[in-house]
This record gives sequence, C-alpha cells and structure tokens, in this order.
Amino acid sequence: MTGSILDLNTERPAEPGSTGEDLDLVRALQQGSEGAYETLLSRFQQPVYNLALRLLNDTSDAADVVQEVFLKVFRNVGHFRGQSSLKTWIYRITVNEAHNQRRWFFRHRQREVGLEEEPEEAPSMAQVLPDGSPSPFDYVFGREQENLIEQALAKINPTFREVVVLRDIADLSYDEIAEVLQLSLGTVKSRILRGREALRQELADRLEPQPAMRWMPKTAE
Amino acid sequence: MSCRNIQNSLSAFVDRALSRSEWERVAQHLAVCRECTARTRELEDLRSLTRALPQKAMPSQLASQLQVLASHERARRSMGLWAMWTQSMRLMVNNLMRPIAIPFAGGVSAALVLFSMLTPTLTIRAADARTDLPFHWLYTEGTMIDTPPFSFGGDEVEILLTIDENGQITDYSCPDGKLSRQVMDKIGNSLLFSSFEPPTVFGRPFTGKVRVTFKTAGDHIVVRPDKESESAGG
Repeated sequence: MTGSILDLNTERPAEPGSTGEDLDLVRALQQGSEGAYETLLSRFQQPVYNLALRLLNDTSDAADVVQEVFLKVFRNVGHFRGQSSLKTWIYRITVNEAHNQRRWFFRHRQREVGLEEEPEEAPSMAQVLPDGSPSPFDYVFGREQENLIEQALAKINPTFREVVVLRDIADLSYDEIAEVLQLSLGTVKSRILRGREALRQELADRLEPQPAMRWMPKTAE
Repeated sequence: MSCRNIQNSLSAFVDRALSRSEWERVAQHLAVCRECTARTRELEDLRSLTRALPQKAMPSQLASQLQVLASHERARRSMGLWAMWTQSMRLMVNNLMRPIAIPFAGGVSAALVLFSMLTPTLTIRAADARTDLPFHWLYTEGTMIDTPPFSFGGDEVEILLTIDENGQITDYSCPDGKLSRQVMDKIGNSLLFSSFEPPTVFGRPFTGKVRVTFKTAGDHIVVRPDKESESAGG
C-alpha cells in the first residue's frame, strides 16, 4: 500500500448555486450584451462539445447537439434563477439533448446505410508537425491506449457511460452530477461504480489475448 | 467488514467522495486486504486513463455557426416583443404562401396569355345605320325594319312588344289595358306584317321589349324602346 491511495482528502464541496460571476454573465445575457455572448461561448462551447461527443460518439451528432444546447441557453436564459450553477444548468441541457439525439438515432438513422466509408478525420497540425517530446513508440502506445479506452467507453451502457463521462471527463463532483441528472446522490455513486466496473470489464475483454487455435478434446471412435 | 461491502465503496473512495468515517473504515480494510488494494489500484489507474483522454478539438465550422447563432439571438433579443412577434408572423405567412406562389403566378400568366390570344377573335356587331339608333358598345335597342303596309284605324295606341333574338314578335300587350278584344286583334294583324331588328348585347341578339305607338293620322308608326328616356322615330 503506497501513500497515494490512502493519502486522500475528502472531495471539495459542490457549489450550492450560481456564483456572482455566473449571475453577472446571465444578467448581461438578458440585456443582450455582445461581450456576454462571447464569454459564454468561450467558456462553454468546448466542454459542451466534448461532453456531447463522449456521450454520442459521433462528431456530426455532437455538433447538432451543441447548436441545440446553445440555442436553448440563449432562448431560456431569462428563466435561469441561479438555483444551480450555470455549468450544471448547461450540462443538464446537454445531457437531455444527447438523450433526444440518441432516441432520434434509434428511430431513424439506425436503418440508414452509407454508400461510402466514412473518411478519416484530417490530422491536426499538432499531429502532422514533428514533435520531439514523446518517442514514436510512446506516441503509438499512447494512441493505442486512448483508442482502447474510447472504444470501451463507447461500448458500455449509455446510462453508466454518462455518469463516468460527467465524473472523469467533465470533472463534475458527485453533487453536481446528481443535479445534472436529477438523481439522488446514492444513485449517482452506484452508477459510477457500475459504470467503472463495466468499463474495466470491457477493457479486460479487449486486452485478453485470443488463442489462435484451440485444442478440443475428442473421444475416440 | 467483508470485501464485498468495501468494494462497493471503492469507486467513491478513489473519487474522494466518502465521509471521514467511511473513508477511515475503507482505509483500515485496505491496509490488511491485498485483493481490495489491487482492486483500488485498478480503479485508480482506470480513472487516470479516462481523465487523461485528450479533449477533441471542436470543428472550426461549428465555432462559426455558434457565433452566427449568438449574433442572431442577440439581435432577436434587442428587437423587442412586438417586433419579434411581427417577424415571426411574417415568417409564418411567408412559409404558408410560398407553396402557392408559383401556382398562383402561373395561373395568372396563363390567363393573361389566353385572354390576349382570344381578344382579336371577339367581334362586336355594329348597330344597323338604318335604325338611326345611337351606337352602343355593349347594348343596342331593338328597332322596327318594316312597317305594316296598311294603316290602323282608331285612336293613338301604345303597345308593348316582346321580340326574340330572331326579330320575331313573341308577345304583345297594352300597358294601359283599356283596349277591347277587337282592337287587340286588329293590332295583332297589323304586327304580322312588321319585322324587327332584335336588341343586342356585345353584338349578340337577345330577347327584349319595344314600345310601339300606333297613330291613325298620317298612317305612321312610332317605335320606342322600353325606356322612357330613349326613343326614335321610323
């Protein structure tokens, strides 16, 4: 047992409601200030996109969800009363929109069959330009590891995936997750536990080497 | 405390989401249980790996779309309720009218082309010069062409004639209603030898009424249309 496991403090307390900064931003949005719209987008567009992408595993669906989320935020900002933080309010809208998108997918697009294979996403400049820090082996190993985690995450039940994503990728506290998903704290704890267990199991299945040939016992005739 | 109970709390333990007493209980167990410690390490590694997943960069096109969305919403908010309502109503009406705009325009154009093609074929028959009636574009009165060859014996009498589109008398009557049966028969005999030009509308003959006054003096007949304001002698 090393100190890293046991040397833990209890988690930071969740913010009970909106901060003054949030309320100022909301007030400025209600007054139609151009700077407020810019601030809101710069603060939340990337996290909302990431959350939607991790929940849906599809870039175009995630982009649709992000647009819907910000449309709802802009239209309903007048109804925001500051009882929760702006972040949890926006994340709640994102999770709901992702649910709707997933429901729509199962109703409509599941039956669609593409004529061509999806083109690979163009590599970013950071990936193209030579970078001295990690060795090619480390890079490939790191990428492989990321792919495995992403595939395993995409494979687990969406109910468990959303709590794991909110906890580990969006970095929300248990209380904030409970607020976003409108669940009790006990349910959130239980779902995170089961989600991580499912993720661990999925990864274990993927990493387990498959035998090339199996010897089957056979009775003599 | 069994390992099973502890393992239910390990995820929250890794997340530092346990109360002080719960945390101490788990920590005491982990100090003596290698299996649960290994499980805790696995969970922590898994958590680290998941947290280390890189953030996917948002497509630049989406960022531009969000900017456009924000500017539209800001403009919409600054418009005011009335302007917003009128704009949405205008949009709704436009959307409603758009599907019928092309059929409507097509119908009007086709009607105009058809009308312009048919107009040269429309002919309006001019009134006969002999009748000496005023020329009307839309309507001409009935006129008498031939008078009876003999005179009518008696006082001045006014008769109302009904003339069909062929210029034939279909009925006659005395507006005063004071004439005897014998006089009406005589008038009927006289009218047998008369011929009429029927009234016309847009050059086409139609049934109409003509007032005729029979005079004994000079053996002439006055034909007057069924309007008090217009009359002509023949």
